Amino acid sequence: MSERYQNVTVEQLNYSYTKTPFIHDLSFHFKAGELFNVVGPNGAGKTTLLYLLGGIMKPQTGRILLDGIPLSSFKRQALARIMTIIPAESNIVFDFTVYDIVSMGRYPYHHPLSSLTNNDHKIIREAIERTGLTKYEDTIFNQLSSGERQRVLIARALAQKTSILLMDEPTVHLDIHYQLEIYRLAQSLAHDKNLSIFMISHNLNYTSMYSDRIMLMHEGGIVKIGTPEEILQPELLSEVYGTALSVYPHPKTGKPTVWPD
Amino acid sequence: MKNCKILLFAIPICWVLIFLFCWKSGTVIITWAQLKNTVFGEAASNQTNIILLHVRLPRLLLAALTGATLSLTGAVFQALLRNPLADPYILGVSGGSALGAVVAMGFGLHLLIIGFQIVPIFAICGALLTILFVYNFSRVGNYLPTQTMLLAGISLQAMLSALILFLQTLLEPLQLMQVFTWLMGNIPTPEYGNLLWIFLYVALAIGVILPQARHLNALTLGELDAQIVGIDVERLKKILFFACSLLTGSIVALTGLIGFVGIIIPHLLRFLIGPDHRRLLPACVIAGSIFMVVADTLARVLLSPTEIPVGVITALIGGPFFLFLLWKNKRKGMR
Repeated sequence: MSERYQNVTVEQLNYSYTKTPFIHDLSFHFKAGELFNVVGPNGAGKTTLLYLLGGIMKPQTGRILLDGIPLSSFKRQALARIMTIIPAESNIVFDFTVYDIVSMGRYPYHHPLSSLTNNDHKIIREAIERTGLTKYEDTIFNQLSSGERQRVLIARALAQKTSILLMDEPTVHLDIHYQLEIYRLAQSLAHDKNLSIFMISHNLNYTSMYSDRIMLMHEGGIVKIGTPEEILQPELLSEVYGTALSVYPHPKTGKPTVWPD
Repeated sequence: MKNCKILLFAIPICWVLIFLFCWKSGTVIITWAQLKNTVFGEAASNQTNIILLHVRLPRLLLAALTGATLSLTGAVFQALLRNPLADPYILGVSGGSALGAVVAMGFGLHLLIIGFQIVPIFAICGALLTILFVYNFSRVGNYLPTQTMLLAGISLQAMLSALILFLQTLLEPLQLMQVFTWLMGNIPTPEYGNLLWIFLYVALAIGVILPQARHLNALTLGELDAQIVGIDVERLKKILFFACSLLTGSIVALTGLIGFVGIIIPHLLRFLIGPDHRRLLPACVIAGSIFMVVADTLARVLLSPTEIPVGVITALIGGPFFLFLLWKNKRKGMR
């Protein structure tokens, strides 16, 4: 069983690619049982933040704590049992099958020379089933559509059985059915399985429907963190996105929905 | 799974049979009975013993090491650089080793008592510098564009060849002749002492590479994906760059520039047994070694008693094969 970490705390995080700071003074937290969405215009620093949280890049100053333990003190393999990333896209040069790729999610649990156990295969099958890929199990990854590939990456992350999940625009190549499916999956993983989910999103309306809390980012900083009702304010969004936007309640659920003027 | 068990026995037997056949073949005709006598140390003529044990055997063993090394390095480069067309020869890594070796030879370092160790060490350093250059030059963030890398490798190879030619002008005529035949790609007949050294280098590098097989699988999806599943990519790259340089350098120092083996063997094997490096890498060692033993035997016997450089044979097989792969990739619409 994987180690369970419940809380991710970010303190005074700074990161710059060049001399000018790109991400500056970020402090926030998210915890188990919540779907925490990050929204903001292109170039706001969302993906950079996700890579910092995932330990792929190292912040220049500031700390990231998992239940109070600094992220930097975890070894890569140990970290892969605690948190995983679903990247926006991946491509591969050789003919690995869907099953091969999903089974890579079990690598963090084994020595490189040992082979997968029956339990591993059970977990891999469950992940494939959960993402609706059962009939593609033996298909070559490169022959899939980009939406199907995205689901393979989600399945791999599920097979990793981590308690923290970082998702980078996971619905970008998906049709409306699978977009909803992924948001529902994320919500149910957070609420039913008590995972901590950090999800970058461009779809404000889905975020409004499924998210527990939203963080609005702009130019490398936090504009506001709050419930969908608190964040989806027409003046706030219009200013941050630089285009006139209106917010109306959803006709059935009453949740705020965002529309261009 | 049942098939696997049969193969487990069939492959070593085939390997040994082909090896024995190549051992027997050559300009001087040797019968199976003579070969048997020599192998079991029974009464055989002195001349036969010398041909078999001191001329042909060390050369065949070096050919086997060379083939294993070149195909294994090819397979590792292809995964590490996420480029199905990578190979130590095409990326200029062999050229870098050759330049290192020529520099060492040019300075007369091979004349030293420890000369044997110096030339391969220069070659290994040359390989390491080249691979680091090609990798860092073509890298854009998390991506390694195929075209940039191939072009970088090819231009580097051209520059290195020019440098080698330049250095050759500084050599004595006799030395020049040696360097010239060596550069064409030849399996020489090594001293057993030298062979042992090369064997130790190669064994060390293979011992380092084989346990990384599963990590290489993850790395074919890119560095980000490999880190996601818990692999320390920077460490892995360092290990593999070093091990591949060790392999390429130590072999190039003895055999010169033998091209395309690193492309042909891994691709054929991927076609036969799939891309999983846990099977692919050991298969490269086995298939690469026997391929080279056969190629070198062809080099010896085709125009016997004249010898063709084995590099010519591998390039004549490998060149068209490489073009075929390019054509296939073009149709697949490669990035």
